[in-house]
Amino acid sequence: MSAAVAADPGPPVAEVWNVVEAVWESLLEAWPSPAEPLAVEADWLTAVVSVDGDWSGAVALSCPPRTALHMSRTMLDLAWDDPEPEPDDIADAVREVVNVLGGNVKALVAGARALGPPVLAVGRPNLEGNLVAELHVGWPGHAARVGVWRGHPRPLTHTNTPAAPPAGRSAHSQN
Amino acid sequence: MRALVIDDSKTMRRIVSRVLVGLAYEVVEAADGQQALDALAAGPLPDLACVDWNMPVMDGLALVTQVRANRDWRDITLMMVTTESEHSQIVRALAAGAHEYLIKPFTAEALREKLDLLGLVPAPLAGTPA
Repeated sequence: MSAAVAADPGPPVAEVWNVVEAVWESLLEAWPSPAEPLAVEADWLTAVVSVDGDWSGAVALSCPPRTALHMSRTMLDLAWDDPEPEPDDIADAVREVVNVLGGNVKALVAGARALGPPVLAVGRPNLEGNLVAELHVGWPGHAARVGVWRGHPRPLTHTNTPAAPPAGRSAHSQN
Repeated sequence: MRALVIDDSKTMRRIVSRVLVGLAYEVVEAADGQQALDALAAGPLPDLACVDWNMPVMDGLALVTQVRANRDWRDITLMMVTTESEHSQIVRALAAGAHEYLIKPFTAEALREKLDLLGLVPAPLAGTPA
């Protein structure tokens, strides 16, 4: 590992925020703004993608189940009267958001080379290492937390399919 | 025109497909490089393949290499659609035979512009407003 890479603690928070804005605008059709600090609740979904190379770490996205549902509905372009997406579709949408976040964060850090497959878990990110960037992201009716860790992420005990959201908990119905 | 959209994320396949269907493409989807090869072998051949990079079973770079190695598939236009945004990765993909490169996240307009550059935006039907 080169000294330059070793001295690099991670991507500048402002640049991670630029990535968040681009991802939210293009994938979620939302213009995010910084939100009040959020505590990840036990029922939240957390998607994590690892970054490997001379710089290794992980990017995690945590959000409430109804926000995950909203992400899926938006990305699949579902109309208000379309059926709710399946749990697999919700999981896929959240994983894809963190995958795109991770790929763009990887490009910000010297020495980061490979992106791992995104995985989904329920609850707080179960990661070792140093949290080098934490962003609380708000947009109308929703909020999420994005974290960037440096270090070697501990393997997640995860499920890639969250439980189906409760009936009537559509993001649309709560907006 | 026909398109093959290859991405391990069903959600991303739908996003790309939505734009292409809006341009009057017939779209077939595949979840990894091997499924894409199976679809190509089964035919009919697409005019365009949109290829993610990081996928299980067979990644996008391996797929591009295999497609380019088959003379019967030389008319297929290959466009990488991926989160891999480093210059070195773009060079690798283009060297392997990709014609264009679109970095996620992208807008529908950005995808249309890439297709326009490739000459793959179908002309409007007669009587259709521009």
